[in-house]
Amino acid sequence: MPTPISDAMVGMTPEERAAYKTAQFAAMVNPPDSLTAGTRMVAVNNITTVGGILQFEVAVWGSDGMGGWSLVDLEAARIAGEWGGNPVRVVNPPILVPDPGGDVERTSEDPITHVVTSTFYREDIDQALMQIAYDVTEKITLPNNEM
Amino acid sequence: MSTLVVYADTSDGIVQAQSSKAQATPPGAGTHWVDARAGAGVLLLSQTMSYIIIGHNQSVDWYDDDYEDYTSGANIFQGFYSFDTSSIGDGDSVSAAVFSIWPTGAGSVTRLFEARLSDWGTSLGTSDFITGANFGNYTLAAHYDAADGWSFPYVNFVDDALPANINKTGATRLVVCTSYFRTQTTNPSTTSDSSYYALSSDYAGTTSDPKLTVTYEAAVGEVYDGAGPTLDAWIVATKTGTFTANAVLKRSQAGSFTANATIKKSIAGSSTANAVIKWTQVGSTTAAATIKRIQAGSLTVNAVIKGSRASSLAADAIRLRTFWFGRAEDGF
Repeated sequence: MPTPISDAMVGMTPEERAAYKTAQFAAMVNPPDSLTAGTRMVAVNNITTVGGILQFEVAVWGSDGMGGWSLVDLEAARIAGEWGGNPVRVVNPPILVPDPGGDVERTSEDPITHVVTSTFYREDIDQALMQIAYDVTEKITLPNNEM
Repeated sequence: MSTLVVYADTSDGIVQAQSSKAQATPPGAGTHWVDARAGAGVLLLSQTMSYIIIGHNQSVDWYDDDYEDYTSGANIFQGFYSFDTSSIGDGDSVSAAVFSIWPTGAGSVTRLFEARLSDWGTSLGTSDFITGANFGNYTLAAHYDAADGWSFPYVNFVDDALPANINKTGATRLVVCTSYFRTQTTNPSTTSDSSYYALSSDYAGTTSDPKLTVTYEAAVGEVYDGAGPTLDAWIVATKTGTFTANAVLKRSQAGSFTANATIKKSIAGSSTANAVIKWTQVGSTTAAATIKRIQAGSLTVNAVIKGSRASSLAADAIRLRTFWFGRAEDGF
């Protein structure tokens, strides 16, 4: 699996890496439509940059369990004390997502036991973008659609 | 209201305080804990691991450097985190801030973790270790009780004073250790493992890096609990440059809302009003005029009403009258 963004960032400072990653997200030609996990579906729209910061809008739907979806009023959720309002801005956006079969390996040696562990990722900004959107709306209460 | 998600800088890391290796005595018999808690033993810095250890352990089977001998000792791990929150405006109002980390491994004894404010600068060093006696002097920003669970995805620290202490001009920096570390002043008589593991920030960034989620309001408008003010105009005049107004009033919780005109008069140049009212949940909405008068140039109205979910929609007139070569033409 190619890692073009990671490869291009070799030698960059942390600030340069953050700016470069942001530009890659803003330049997405065909961003993914939505991510569905369990009873929650999220979608992103209007991906852009504001002052060098990645920005997008997020929408959330809750499943009624019978194939239907209800749009969540994020502004009402915000007033109720939940977080995840629009627009969403992201500083230093991630580009790697966990993938046991991925070819980006991170290893560490435990300072106590000296056991070496590896974690594997793949470079996938589509999935990363949707995961950010999903995480940022995680605490939003879904509408109660149970019959 | 905006949401800012800040993934941690790669300057994060661990400062580990070990008790002196010269003490070949079991816990309780020596001063392992007291020495480590005071930073009087050995201090080590680690910033290259894919995880950060927070907490401590006190063991009788602790390896020494040559991996051959066993001895007893105490290890205290402080996790240091840095988030670039400078994109938040000076006058912006932060209403919520949540510090989140991605657990990967847990000790056998649960502890209450405390995230405290410590501006340790742009690079981490062993001198940034905070002794147990001083740890409580740093502002408690948030806490998390490991008894509530320590498994991925993210665990979210509970707020204490984080929103009020978000640094709007630089990085918001935190140090994490346990309340036990802060309060346990004498050497414990038993061994214990309260070292907890969570992923650190990555060179390229992963969706499981430490993060700070900040909810804030831009400083343009204000929130009024009671009767709001009357504004003749939000912006009186713009002479040059572009002007974007995402919303005149974003949400009216109760009571009526009247917008007499979004744009009263445009002498020259283009004016775009994407929506007069984007969403009305209940009740009626009256927009007396979208644009009252245009002196020159073209007028584009993408939609008067974008969508009506419930109840009826009445548009008395889309266009009332247009003067065309001196001839008045009725609208439709």
